[in-house]
Amino acid sequence: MNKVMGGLMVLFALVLAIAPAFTDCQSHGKMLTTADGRSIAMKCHWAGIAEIAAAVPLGLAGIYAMFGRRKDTLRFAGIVGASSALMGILLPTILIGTCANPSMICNVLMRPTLLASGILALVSSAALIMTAREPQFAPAGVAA
Amino acid sequence: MNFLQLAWKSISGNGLRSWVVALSALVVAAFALFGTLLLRGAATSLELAAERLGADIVVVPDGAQTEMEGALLMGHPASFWMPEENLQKLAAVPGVEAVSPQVYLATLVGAACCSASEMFMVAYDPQSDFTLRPWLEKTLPGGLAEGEVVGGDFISATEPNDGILVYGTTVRLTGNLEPTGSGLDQSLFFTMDTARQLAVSSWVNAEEPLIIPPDQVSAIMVKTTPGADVEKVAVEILRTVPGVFPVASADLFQSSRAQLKSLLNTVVIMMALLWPIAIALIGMVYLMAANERRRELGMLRALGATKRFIAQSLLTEASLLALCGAAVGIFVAVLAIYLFRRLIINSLGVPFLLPSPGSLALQIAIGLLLAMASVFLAALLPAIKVSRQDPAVAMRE
Repeated sequence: MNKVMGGLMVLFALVLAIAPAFTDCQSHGKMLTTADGRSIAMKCHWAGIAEIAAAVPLGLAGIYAMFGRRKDTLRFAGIVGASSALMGILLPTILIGTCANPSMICNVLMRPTLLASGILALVSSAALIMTAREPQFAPAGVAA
Repeated sequence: MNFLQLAWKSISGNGLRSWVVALSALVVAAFALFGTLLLRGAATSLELAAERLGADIVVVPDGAQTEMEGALLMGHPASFWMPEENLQKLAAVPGVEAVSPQVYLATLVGAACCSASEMFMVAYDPQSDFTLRPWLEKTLPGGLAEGEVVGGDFISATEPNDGILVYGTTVRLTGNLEPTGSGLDQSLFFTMDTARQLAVSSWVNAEEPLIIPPDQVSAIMVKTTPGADVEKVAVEILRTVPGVFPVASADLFQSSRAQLKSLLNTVVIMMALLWPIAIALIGMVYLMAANERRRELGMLRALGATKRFIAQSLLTEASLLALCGAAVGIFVAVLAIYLFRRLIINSLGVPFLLPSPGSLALQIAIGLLLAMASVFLAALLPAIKVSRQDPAVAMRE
């Protein structure tokens, strides 16, 4: 189970890191033009860049989950994965956001892709934490 | 150990088999729910958009039907004109009770003078209007004053004091209409007086002027007398008023309805292929599992387990796997349709409206039942077969 969840976490981390490069407004040639004529990237681009910072710990946690055997390690990987996935959701929604116009490519494609990957990574991490729980009852003879 | 515990032990002890069965249930549930939500959402949106128009017949210049549907359904800006004198001609047609003109406009592309690029705008005549008034009265009982606008569900103010910049003039957003899932959600509505005011000020304030040809309108909404045959009135309009094309409300959005029909056929064909394949796959997996476990189940029978206990444990195992797989499939389908609805609207060219919570719950329940029934059906035969075997023979083999 932990191998499957770890694999999913790595997969969603890759989507979080790579998808913005192909789905933000800049990748479709849309940029802001300032009063002095310079072209600058819109905020969806920076949200996409920031996603890499959430994707790296998520991917590493996924690798740990795939190869780790101790329940402590798996639980820690799950907690790191869940925190990173949550960050992956918050970056394009609350922390940085995307462009204002709902019909722009970042809102049509990038944001839903990041949200879907973030939510599914969060669920995978939660499942990993659940499977790595300590047994509820102490083994016979240990109890006081 | 009861049959539930036995089923759970069997699931955890046979990872690959459990994954195959759960994934089959996941695919069936996800596809069925995604297809149903998509089709029902598109159909509801089409009906709502036609209802929002509120006219029995929409009269447009001949050849502008597709452009009009694209504007009203997808919010694609449209520009077509016909003489205003058609109003009198249409009012004189037998069976016509009321007529009201509308002017279709659009904001400029990427211009600093407009808050939104290529936004579809509808100007209506408040004196004769009977289509927008019922909807406006819900949000604005006093109607719209000059310089005031009402927006579709997606429209929001971009300037201070609820302002939106249109052709260099700030108009005040006084309210939003209920969502329809169509292009009307991203459109702006205002009176003809506001349109004329915008056209005059645009010569000074905007990069390009807003041009409204004098004595011209884009479309005329027609209300028929109670009991009149709408189709016959439309034919009469076509015969007596040259240069126009009447679209009866039942014939509105024909291209989208056709698109929806082909989509429905695709979903039905896919489901007709997918469902038997999933049942066959699960049936095969359980048949193999039943053969593998003959000695184990024979031993249980020898220890006193009844045929019913064996069959129940196998069917419980199948139902548990189906429930887990279907639950995940349903979660994925709802997530996909909720997050990617705008991409779906753009890609398929059909409007889409999310269902109400009650309707969604019903569709989720149907998806869950379908997946569970598939797995139950597939596992039934192997379960009966293995439960009927003679324990002595099974243990010797």
